[in-house]
Amino acid sequence: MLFNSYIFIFLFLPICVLGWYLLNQLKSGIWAKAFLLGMSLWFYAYFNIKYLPLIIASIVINYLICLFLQKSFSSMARKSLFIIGIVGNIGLLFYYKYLGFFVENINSLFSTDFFVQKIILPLGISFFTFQQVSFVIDCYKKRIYYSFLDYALFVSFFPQLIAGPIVLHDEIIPQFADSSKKKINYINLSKGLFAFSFGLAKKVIVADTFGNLANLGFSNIPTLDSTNAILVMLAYTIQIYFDFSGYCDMATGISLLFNIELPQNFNSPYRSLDMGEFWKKWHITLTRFLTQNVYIPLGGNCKGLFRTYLNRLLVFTLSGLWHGANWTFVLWGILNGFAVVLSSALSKPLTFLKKKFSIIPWLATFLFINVSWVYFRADSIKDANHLINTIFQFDFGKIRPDFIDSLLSSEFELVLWLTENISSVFVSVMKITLFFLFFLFAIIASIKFKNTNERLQTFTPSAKNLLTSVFLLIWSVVSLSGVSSFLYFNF
Amino acid sequence: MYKKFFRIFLSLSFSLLLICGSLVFAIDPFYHYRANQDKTKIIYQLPYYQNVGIAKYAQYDTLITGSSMTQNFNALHFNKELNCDAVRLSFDGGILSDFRALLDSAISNNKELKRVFFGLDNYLITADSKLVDETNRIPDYLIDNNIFSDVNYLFNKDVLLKYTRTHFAYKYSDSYDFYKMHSWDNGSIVFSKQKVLENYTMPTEQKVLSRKYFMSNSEEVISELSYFIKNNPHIEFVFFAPPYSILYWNTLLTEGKLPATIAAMKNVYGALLRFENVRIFFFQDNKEMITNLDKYKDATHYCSEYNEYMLSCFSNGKNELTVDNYITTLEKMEYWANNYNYAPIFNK
Repeated sequence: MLFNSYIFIFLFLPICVLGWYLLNQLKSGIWAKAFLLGMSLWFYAYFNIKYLPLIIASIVINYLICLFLQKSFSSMARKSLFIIGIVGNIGLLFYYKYLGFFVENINSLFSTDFFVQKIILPLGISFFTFQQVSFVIDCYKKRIYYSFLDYALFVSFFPQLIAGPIVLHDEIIPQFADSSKKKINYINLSKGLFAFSFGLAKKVIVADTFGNLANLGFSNIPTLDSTNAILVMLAYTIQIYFDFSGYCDMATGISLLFNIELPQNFNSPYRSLDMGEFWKKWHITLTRFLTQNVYIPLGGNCKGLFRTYLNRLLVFTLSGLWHGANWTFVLWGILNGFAVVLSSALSKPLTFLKKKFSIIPWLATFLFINVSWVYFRADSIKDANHLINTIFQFDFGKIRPDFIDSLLSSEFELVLWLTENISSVFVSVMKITLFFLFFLFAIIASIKFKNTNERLQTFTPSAKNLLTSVFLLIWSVVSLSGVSSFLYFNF
Repeated sequence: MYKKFFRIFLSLSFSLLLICGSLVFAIDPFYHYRANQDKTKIIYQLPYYQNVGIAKYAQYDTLITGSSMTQNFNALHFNKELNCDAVRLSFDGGILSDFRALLDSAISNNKELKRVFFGLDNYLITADSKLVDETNRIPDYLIDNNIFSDVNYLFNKDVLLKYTRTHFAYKYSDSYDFYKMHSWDNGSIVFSKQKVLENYTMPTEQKVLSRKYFMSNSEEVISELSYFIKNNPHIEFVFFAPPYSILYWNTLLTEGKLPATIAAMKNVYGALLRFENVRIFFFQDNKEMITNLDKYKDATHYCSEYNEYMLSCFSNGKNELTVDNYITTLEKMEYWANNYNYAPIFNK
């Protein structure tokens, strides 16, 4: 189930919130938790019921491993169990996410002919695997005991299940146990609805609309000139920002409806003045996981400058691979790794620039982010190189009409219709103006506007907040469904 | 204060959604809930979204359907020539599942339906339904008989902001004519050999496919159509093979698909002609028509003059296939397409 779907908004979420508070009226908190666990599993199974046993098995096995890690076995036995836990989790992820990619590369490297059936990636597997890996590591290091229900709910809690944040057990489970959080809290309900509305609008109105242009561009790379290639690159930069930011806002908002606070995962990353800062603001909980569980065990920054840089490169390469099984992601990770190392190596001149001419490091960072997203989005490195080369050919032509149309949805058409009586020239001027205004708005919003977490900190139940959030919610809900205008060029 | 915020948020959101939904329900631009029985008052904007609704609620006794090959038929001319009350509901680029939904809606809701004219394109007969692109088709919420899925229609920005608006724009326009909607031969299209050749992509020579290649696909077509034909003996089904230009046959031959296509057509025509309530008209072997590229806009799309000719044949029985002649007709077609001298077409 997606947050941005009718069934989630009209059926699943209201049932879930009502059920949670009604069952929390009972003396034992078990029923409410069991209900929320059941709903979370329904949420997961709605994508593909075939993978429901997979997540249940993963939860049960990890719980059992952690249970045994608490027993007073010999350190050798504990270590073996720990290794089994880690290898098992990573193995599961490897099988579902990387086996096809691995075999494909083996075949092309050694001219072999191994065959693996195409495996559909279970949704959220990268997230719930990392979440459980971090739990197994913690259980190995210290004594932790939770009931199975608490643990299962921690892993499967639907607001964070399919796209993060990657939460830690001690951030969530104590909140489920806190009796003060079992009562209706209108502050959290109001904040939750506010954050959800903003997140939904970011996803449905901005990200999906720019996604239309990005999809059109990335599937027609050979036909682009420099102007249109730049627009495609920018459109994707906007799409991925609002998509992920919107998702994080919705997750934050939905959790608040249950009085649960999720860790912040997104903090206006496009404001960053270097790539090190960017990675402290983009997918914050992933950076935290990789720092704690990969970077520090590799030696972090304690083994000299060279090892520090090497460790960072390794972490970012791994991060790239985590994002997807394709060389494009690996290269994207490596590029980011180099950029982070570079920003660290040039920290002195950068500090000066940041103080005196902050626009320069910001522009350099933003340009780099744009280029790196091209590798993240393209189907192949060849395609990404082609798009970047097209930009540097400096062959500037007119903006493609289908690009303009892909961005100007019904609300823009309404504006154009209202102005069409003035003159046809005015309409075409309006069209291009609206197109650029939308780009400009999206970029400025991602940099200058307060992010939702900042808004929540200063949130008051004012009329302005009420009207804005209701308007965004309704606008987003009616934007969930559209009409395709069948473009059969040849009938 | 927060409690008030929460309550007003929910009640305001609910009220606004109710207004949006009620507006769409009341105007119902896709005729999902009701339609004016007088066809001339139907605002025909989007065939893929409206055909099923119009078929369900409008009054007619003759249905004309098919791909873009049927879009230039004027239902009023059918009324005159065949003394009927016809409606044309075509799907440009339609696939079997689109026509299934349309026939289902028309037959199960319209007890007056006496005749169906169906442009049976060759691509429908040979297409593999598993490989057909199912995107941009009739949306499920318009055909699944599930009131809950109607949220996709009632809370739909494009319907709300665009199609309700254009609905009224057409409604109050003096030039609006239901019978001419979605007819593409409207004076702006150029029909000429030069244009056809400019737009024609020369096919690359490929291995000849076996005659059985499209057989399982054609069996699926037979099973789908037979279902409607068999269960509705009171309805006459008139299928016809549209007259694609000679270039279509050049493509088929060069790409090695000619024998397999003809075999699939034989299979389908043979199976359909077994039913008493089926007639099939074949226009593809009319050499005079298909070699005159000045009557086409591309390799397959012909001008409305040819639609008028087909209508006259429906009336006088010319070009009709029978159980006795369909095999020889198709074999002659294959022989002719195989041996035609295509080269002069491309000489300047």
